[in-house]
Amino acid sequence: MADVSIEELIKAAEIAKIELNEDELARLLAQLIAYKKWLEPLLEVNCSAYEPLLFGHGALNAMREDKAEQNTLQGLGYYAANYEDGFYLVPPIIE
Amino acid sequence: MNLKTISAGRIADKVNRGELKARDLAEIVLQNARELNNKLNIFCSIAGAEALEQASAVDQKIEAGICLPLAGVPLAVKDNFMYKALPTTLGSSQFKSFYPPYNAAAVDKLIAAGAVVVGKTNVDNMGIGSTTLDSPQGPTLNPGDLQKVAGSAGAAALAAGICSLALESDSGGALLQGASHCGVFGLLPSAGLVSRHGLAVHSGSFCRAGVSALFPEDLPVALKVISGYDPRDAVTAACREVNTRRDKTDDLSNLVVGYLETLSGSAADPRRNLVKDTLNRIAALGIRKAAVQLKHLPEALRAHQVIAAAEASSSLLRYDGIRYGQAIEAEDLELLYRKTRRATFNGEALNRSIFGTYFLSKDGYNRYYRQALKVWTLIREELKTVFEQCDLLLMPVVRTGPFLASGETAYSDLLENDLFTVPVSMAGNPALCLPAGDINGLPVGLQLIGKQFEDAFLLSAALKIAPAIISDLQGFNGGGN
Repeated sequence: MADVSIEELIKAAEIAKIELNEDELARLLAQLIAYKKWLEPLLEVNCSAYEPLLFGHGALNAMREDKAEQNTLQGLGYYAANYEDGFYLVPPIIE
Repeated sequence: MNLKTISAGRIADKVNRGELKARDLAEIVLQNARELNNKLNIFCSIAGAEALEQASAVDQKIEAGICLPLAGVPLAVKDNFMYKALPTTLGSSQFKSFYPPYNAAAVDKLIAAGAVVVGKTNVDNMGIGSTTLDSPQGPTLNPGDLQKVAGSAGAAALAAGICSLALESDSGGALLQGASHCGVFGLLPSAGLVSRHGLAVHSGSFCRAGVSALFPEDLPVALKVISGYDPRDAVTAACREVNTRRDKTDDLSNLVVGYLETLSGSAADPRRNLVKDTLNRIAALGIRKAAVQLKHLPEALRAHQVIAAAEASSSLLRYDGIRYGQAIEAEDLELLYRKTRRATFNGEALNRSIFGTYFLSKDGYNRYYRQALKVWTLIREELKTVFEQCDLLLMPVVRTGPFLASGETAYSDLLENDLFTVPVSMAGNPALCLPAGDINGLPVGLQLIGKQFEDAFLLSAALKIAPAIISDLQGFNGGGN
């Protein structure tokens, strides 16, 4: 069953916060219907013996030594576009 | 200097010995990049003064007696890696003037090793895709056929002789497919080996950083530079396991290379013949062959699509014009988000944002997403079984040649394109694309897949096997002069 309604697509676009016009909705609906049909072989696989994989990398947790570390102001500002004297500089929002 | 005939290792040797100034090379390379970019559409931005400054800094270090593993090596960086000196557009017009405040971890490491960033390479919108057809500046053309796409602009930069190394990303096959289409060597390292800090990830489970090169002997050096634990990417904690794994092969007669017993396509498919011919060539080296099975390749492809779409729909929510990107003015905040995000996404990024949200809705989750997660477990189990029978797995990379640059490609063909590359994405194994021949005048690669974290073993074996596969590669095993 590959059908999907326009209402379901509109709801998905609302949750995704994307503005779509009528032409785009019609194109995406046709594409989603075709996409779901293409996905049908996936649904036919007998997966009763398998659990869903929730974490693909199989890596161990990155545990560091249980010791307090001090953050530096420079460290906090490293990723900011503008950082000066311990402050994040942002555009003025009050005229 | 023709970069197609000299390896990155040889360039670094010459610069380290003072026979070549990194700055002189950078000037030639930048001029070459500007000229060829008009024809091939490889770069979003080409470096200028900043590259020359980097090169001069390398020369100063050499004069001070410091030896650098990639001294003066021209590097292309995919435009979804943060790099302070040039805009990082993520293939979206909403980011055309975004200068990141920091460098990606891999970029920092490569620069510290002496590489010189030539430019940021073209990328599909939000880094989703393996054609560059979804780039706002249009596709990068294949240096071997200007009617076709290159797949990866980094691979095109190598094939055109502009750069010696390319920093790439991959979530479903872009790195490997681009290497195959352009006839270069592409290495997708094990998941967790290279930090993704500063890589604009759209799928936390599948996105990885990797590297491509014109000469295979450059890949171990580049991998050593960019790999390692980084507390800013928790997945790299897995690096702690690396030292316990095999790192080289001394005797090829002990090596078992697996191949898929059944491959889709007709018996006359030239890709099937390429695998067969390649197996015969490497068997002549004393390597043993083993027929193996991956029964659920088509279903794995579909599971990958569902999970990648779901993860993209979540990851891309941060691009709302407020936290990232340029906002489009609107009457209220909700409309600002909606208009900005529509302007930010196109092509597959738009599809995945909508379809992924659908897959995470109640009905979509129960029917598609949960089943995809189970098939993810299944394909990992199948690959685990495969590697109980062999040391390396030899597979095609692509189902077809590169797509037309005009974009006249059916959506189903784009979806099916990742058939042979998603198992590696889903299981986290390392894979290396080697140029193995040509079909219809364009290069075609095959991939050698290794066990997870046996990247060094994979590279060691591949360097021994490669001469038997690529007998006519210029300068191979010595990197030219």
